[in-house]
Amino acid sequence: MDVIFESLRNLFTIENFFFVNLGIFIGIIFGAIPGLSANLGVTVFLPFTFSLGTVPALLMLCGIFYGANFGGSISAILINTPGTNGACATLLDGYPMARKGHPLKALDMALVASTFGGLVSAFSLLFFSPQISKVAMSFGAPEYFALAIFGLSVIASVSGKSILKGLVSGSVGMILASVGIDSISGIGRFTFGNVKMYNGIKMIAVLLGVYAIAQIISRVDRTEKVGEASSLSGTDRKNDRLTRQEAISMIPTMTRSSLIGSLIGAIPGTGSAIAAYLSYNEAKRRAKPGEHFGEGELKGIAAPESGNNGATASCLIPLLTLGIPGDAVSATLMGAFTMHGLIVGPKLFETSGALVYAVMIGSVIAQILMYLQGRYMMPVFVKITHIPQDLLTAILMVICCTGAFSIANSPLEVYVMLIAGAITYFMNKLDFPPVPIVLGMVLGPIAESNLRNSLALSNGSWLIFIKRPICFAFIILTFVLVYMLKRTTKKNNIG
Amino acid sequence: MKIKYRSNLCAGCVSLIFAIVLFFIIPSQIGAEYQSIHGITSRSMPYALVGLDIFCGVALIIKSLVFKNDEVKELELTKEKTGLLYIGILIIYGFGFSYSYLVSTILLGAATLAIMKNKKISYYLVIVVLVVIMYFSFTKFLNVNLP
Repeated sequence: MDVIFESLRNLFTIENFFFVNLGIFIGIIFGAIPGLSANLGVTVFLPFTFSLGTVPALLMLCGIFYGANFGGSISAILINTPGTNGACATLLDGYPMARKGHPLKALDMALVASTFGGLVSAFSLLFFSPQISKVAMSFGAPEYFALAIFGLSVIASVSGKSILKGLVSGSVGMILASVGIDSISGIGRFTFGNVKMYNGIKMIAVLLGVYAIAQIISRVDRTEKVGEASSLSGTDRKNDRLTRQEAISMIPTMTRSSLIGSLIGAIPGTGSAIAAYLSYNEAKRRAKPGEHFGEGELKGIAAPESGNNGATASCLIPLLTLGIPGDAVSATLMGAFTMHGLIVGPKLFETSGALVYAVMIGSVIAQILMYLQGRYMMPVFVKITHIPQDLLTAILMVICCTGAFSIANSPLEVYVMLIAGAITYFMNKLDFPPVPIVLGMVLGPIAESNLRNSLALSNGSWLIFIKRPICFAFIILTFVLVYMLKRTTKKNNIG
Repeated sequence: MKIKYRSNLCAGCVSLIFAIVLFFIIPSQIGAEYQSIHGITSRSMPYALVGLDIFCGVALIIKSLVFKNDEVKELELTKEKTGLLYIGILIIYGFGFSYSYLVSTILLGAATLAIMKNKKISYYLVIVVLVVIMYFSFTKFLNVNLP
C-alpha cells in the first residue's frame, strides 16, 4: 500500500500533467499525419526526455504512444487514409459516415471508443498484468498460427460482394509480406536482386498506397471524390455530434472490443491492427438486421477504435512483467525505461515499484486527458473537411510522399507506396476489395512462420493444432465465425 | 468512348495471369533450400498462394461464363486516360524523387493541381510553401534525410 501512496505522490505534480498532455498532443499529430507513426514520435522525442525526471519522461513517451493510436483515426475518417496501422479498420465505416455528412459524429465515436479501449487497457495493465501475461505466454507457435488463421477469416467479412476476389486480394497481401529475407531459412524472396528489398516491404507504405494513392488517382480521373466531406461545410454541426444515448448503446460493443484488444495487445508480435480487425469482425458478426457495416455504421467505428486502443497499454504488460517487447513501439519504450534507470522484467516491481505504478496509474489518467484534448481539438480537425477538394488532393499527395520516405529514410518506401497505389487503382476497377491486401500483409507472415515452427516442434505432425486447447479453440472459432458471418450477411441482404 | 467489360470474368483472368506469372518467377526469386521443415520450404507458401489464385480465378470465370453471375461495367476512356497520365507522372516522380525531394515534390503537387484543371495560383503557392515547410521540419527536427 505504501508503494501505491508513494506512486501517487510521484504522479500528481504539475510537471507530470504538463508533459503527459504534451505527449498526447504530439502523439495525436504524429498519428494523424500518414506515414508518421507512434514509434517515430517516441524515438524523436526520447532525447528530449533525458533532462526530465523518470515519471514525467515516461508518461510523456507513453502519452505519445496513446495519442498516436487515436490520431490515426482522424485521417482515416476524414480523408480515408489511415494515419497508423491500427486505424486501417476504422476507415471501413468512419469514412462512409464522414461522407454521409457526419464527420464530427464519426470522430466523436472514435474518440469515445479510443478512450474506453484505452481505459480498459490501462486498468488491465494496472490490475491484471500477472494473469494476462500468463495467458499471453502460453501462446506458442501453434497458437500464433491458429490466431493468424482466425484473423484471416476476417477476409470473409470484408470482401464485399465476392469472397473469391477477397481471397485473391489477400494472396496479393501475403505475397507482398513475403518479400525480403525469410525469417526461418534466411533465403531472400522476391527481392529482384535489390539489396534494399532484403528488409522487406513496410506495411504502412502499402497502406498509404492502397488507401491514399489509389484514391488520389481516382480523384484525378474524376471517378471518385476525395474528401467529399468538404462539401459539408453547411452541415448543422450541433446535430452532427454523438449523443449520450448513442454512446451508451455502444458500451457492449466497446467492452467486447476493448477486452479483445487488451488480450491481443498483451500477446507479443501481434499489434493494434490485428486487434482492430478482430474487434470489427466480432461486431459485424453480432450485427442486428438493419445494421449496415461498411456504409457508415457507428458500431463499425466503435469496435476497431476500442480494439486498437485496447491494445496500447496492454502491450506494456509483457514488457513490464517479463521484459519482452511486443512490438516496435514497446521495444523503443523498453529503451526509454532502461535509459531512465528502470530495468524491465520480473524484478521491476520489486526494485522500482513506486515509479512503475506511477506510470501505470498515469496511463489511466492519460486516457482521460486524451479524451479532453480530443474533445476540444475536434472542431480544428474537422476544418480539414473545409479544404477545397483539389487542394486537399494535392496536399494529401505531398504528405503521403514525405511520410512514406520517413518510414525508413529510404525512397524505396515511396516507390512501394506509388506502385501499391497504381495496382490498387486497377484492382478497384475489377472490384477486388483492398482491405484483404492489408490483412494478408499483417497476418500472412505470422501464419507462415508459425506453421513452420509448429511442424518443427511436432516433428511434422499436424495433430499439434488439435492437441493444444487454445489452438483448437481458435480453429473451432474460425469455422463458427465464418459460418455466422455468412448467415448474418444473408440475413442482412434479405432485410 | 466507352468500353464494356464483365467484372468477374476479367477478375478471373487477371487472377489466373497473376498466378501463372508468380509460378514462373518463384524458382528464380526464391532459392532452393537444402533443408526443409517436414516438406515446407520458403517456396511452399508462395506456391500455395499460386494454387489459391488459380482456384479463385477458375471459379470466377466459371461463375461468369457458366452461371452467368456477373456484372457488366463500363470504362470511360477519356477519364481513364487522365488516370493513366497521372500514373505516368507518378512514375516520373519516382525517378525524380531520388535526386531532389524539394523540386520533384513541388512539381508533383503542381502537376496534381494542373491535371485537375485547377487554375488558382493561391493553391499552387500553398503547395510550394507546404513542401518547403515539410522539407525543413522533417530534415531539421525529425532527422529524416530527405534527398
